Amino acid sequence: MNTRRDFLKKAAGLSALGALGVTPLPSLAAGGYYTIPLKKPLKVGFVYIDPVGNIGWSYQHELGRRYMDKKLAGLVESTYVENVSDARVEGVLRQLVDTGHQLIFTTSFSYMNPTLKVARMYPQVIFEQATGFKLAPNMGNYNGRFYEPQYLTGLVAGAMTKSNKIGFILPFPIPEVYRVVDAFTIGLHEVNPKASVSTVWVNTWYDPAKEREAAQTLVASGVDVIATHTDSPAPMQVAEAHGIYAIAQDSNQIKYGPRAQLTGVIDHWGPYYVETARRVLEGHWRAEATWGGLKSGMVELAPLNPAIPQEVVDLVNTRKAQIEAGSFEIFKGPLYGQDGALKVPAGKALDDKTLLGLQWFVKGVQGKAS
Amino acid sequence: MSPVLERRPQSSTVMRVIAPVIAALAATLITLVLLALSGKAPMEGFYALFLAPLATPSGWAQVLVKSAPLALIGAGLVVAFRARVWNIGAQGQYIAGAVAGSVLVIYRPEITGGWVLPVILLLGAVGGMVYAAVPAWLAIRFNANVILSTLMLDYVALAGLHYLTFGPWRNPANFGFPGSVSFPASASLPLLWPGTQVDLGVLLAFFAPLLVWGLLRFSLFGYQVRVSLSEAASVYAGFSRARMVWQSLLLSGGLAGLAGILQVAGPIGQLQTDISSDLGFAGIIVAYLAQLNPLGVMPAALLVGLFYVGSANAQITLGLSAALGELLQGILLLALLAANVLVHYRLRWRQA
Repeated sequence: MNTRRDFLKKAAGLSALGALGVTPLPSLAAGGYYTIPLKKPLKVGFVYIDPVGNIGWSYQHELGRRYMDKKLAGLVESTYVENVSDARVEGVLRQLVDTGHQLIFTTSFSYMNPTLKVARMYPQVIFEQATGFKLAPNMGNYNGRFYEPQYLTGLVAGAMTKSNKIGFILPFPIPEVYRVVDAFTIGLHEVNPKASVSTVWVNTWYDPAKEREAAQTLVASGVDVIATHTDSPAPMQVAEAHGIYAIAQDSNQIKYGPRAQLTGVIDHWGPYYVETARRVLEGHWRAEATWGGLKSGMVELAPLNPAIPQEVVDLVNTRKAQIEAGSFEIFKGPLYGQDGALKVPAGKALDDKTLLGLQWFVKGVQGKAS
Repeated sequence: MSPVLERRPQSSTVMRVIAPVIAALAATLITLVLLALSGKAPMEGFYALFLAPLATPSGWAQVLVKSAPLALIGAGLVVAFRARVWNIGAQGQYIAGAVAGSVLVIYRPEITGGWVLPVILLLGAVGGMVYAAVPAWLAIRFNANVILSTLMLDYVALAGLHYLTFGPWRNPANFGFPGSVSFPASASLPLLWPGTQVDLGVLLAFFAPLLVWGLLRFSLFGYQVRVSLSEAASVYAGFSRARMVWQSLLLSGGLAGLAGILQVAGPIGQLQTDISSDLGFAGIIVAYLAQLNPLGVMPAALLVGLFYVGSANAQITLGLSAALGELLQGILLLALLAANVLVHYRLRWRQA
């Protein structure tokens, strides 16, 4: 918290500094900082993959944008473009550059290559791309360790399930999805080794009808907790309607499942946006890969349902504190693959590089890993 | 008194020209009212949506890039619809072209040489034709409904594209993320306008409506298409319906397929899950906006392309939501299509 307050002080002093960072050309300054000839106020653009709505992935980024606007009022001026499909994004980025935006956040993995292409063409603009892995001198990337809170939700699900069957709705077979399902299952088995996870691929990030159908299929197969890595509130609503539990994704969904929501994973981008814009304003920005976990506040655990027994709440809080302190490894051996083969021997843990390319399910996850 | 539509004995030439003007005025009025109701400054909103993109060279470049695939698809559909072959499958044919044209890059990413690009484009066009041949064969052999078979094949193509980009054609260096390798320089369309996305494909695309116009105007095939407007006349002239179905589906499918590979080898640069295949449906709108006239395809495509760019621009400069932008554009399109009715019909008031 201290750093955040410090920086606000600095931000307040910025406007007084006036002609700050006015170099004629973008350049690599001392300390590897990438500076651009700034115009004031700094125009910041955001590109969202789906409509903002009032819940979900893009909504959380929009909350972050508004947070940044408030914290840096007078220093930045921001705008967003929503519902931008992958094939359209390059054109939208060019439009943002043409209209004077100097810091642009692109918030979908699928925007990575177009962002890189446009970043190379416009060295006087700084780009930040969410959930990808490529970097350029004027392009950084950032992502949340969603698997950390998802491991904690697994602990809760393991304690609350009676049928020992959990359903997980999955968008696309990418490493992020394997990570959250595996972390969830590791948490689940820590509390309840008999429980298993049934998976349904819906091949979409957001489609209320498909997600509802998937949730209903899972309910029919006997699951009593539903988790999802998709964005609509449909799974939560289905859980509420059937009197079972669900884990919220991206946003707090308590209004869709006042009784059903056990807990959830919440994305919290605001502080990162403030920090990044501040660095650009101060000439202290450089292209970096940021992967923020519970400790950074970029991902959070949603409030715990009052129905959860106190000893489980205590366990969750202990593990959360350990993860934040760096004294607990979620992906530590022994870990077994779906077929029972040993994947990570005891005494070892998966490092970040392996996690970034993770492509397999742990034992206890049912359904094909494709 | 109630209004009725009465068919004109002859389509009205005057109306053909002024119908779009009436439509534009009506839509403008509705747009201004809706903008005012939503709390935005009406004139500013209108400017951001429809005029601002044309105020800068880079805006023009964007409009050209968005319009190009629409011009290609629309030109092909004009022929099909004139021949009363209801090809609703441009989306599937577009995807088939993108996929077929990518084969070479996927399996031989190291290829170089001047022959590569022409071969890739040819493969794309052939891919679209082969995919359009399926409903043609079904229609001729089993009398299958072309509307249904082409539409259903759209979904098959989408699922196939999904399978390839998430499965066997996924770039192995991409950490398991979907999408193919990027197209190498030898397989990419050269830029014609540096600093923009305007490439050779845009030029090719805008030639298509002219070629189709020439084809319809001067060839025997064109004559047969024009006669096909009336089934009786074409039977009387002894033209083969089967041949007409084959030819118009192959032509429109080939152009849609070419549009697909031009996007992948051009602005997009890789085969990915989203390649704007919904352009296949927008192409239908373009064909009808053009009043099924190949020379009308270019302005119609430019108009729809302008909408795409204007919608993003209004979000950036005014914070107009994407939904409102699309709503206003929908109103303009609807007004234009409705006004086209006046070309063939007149409004009469009849005693109730």
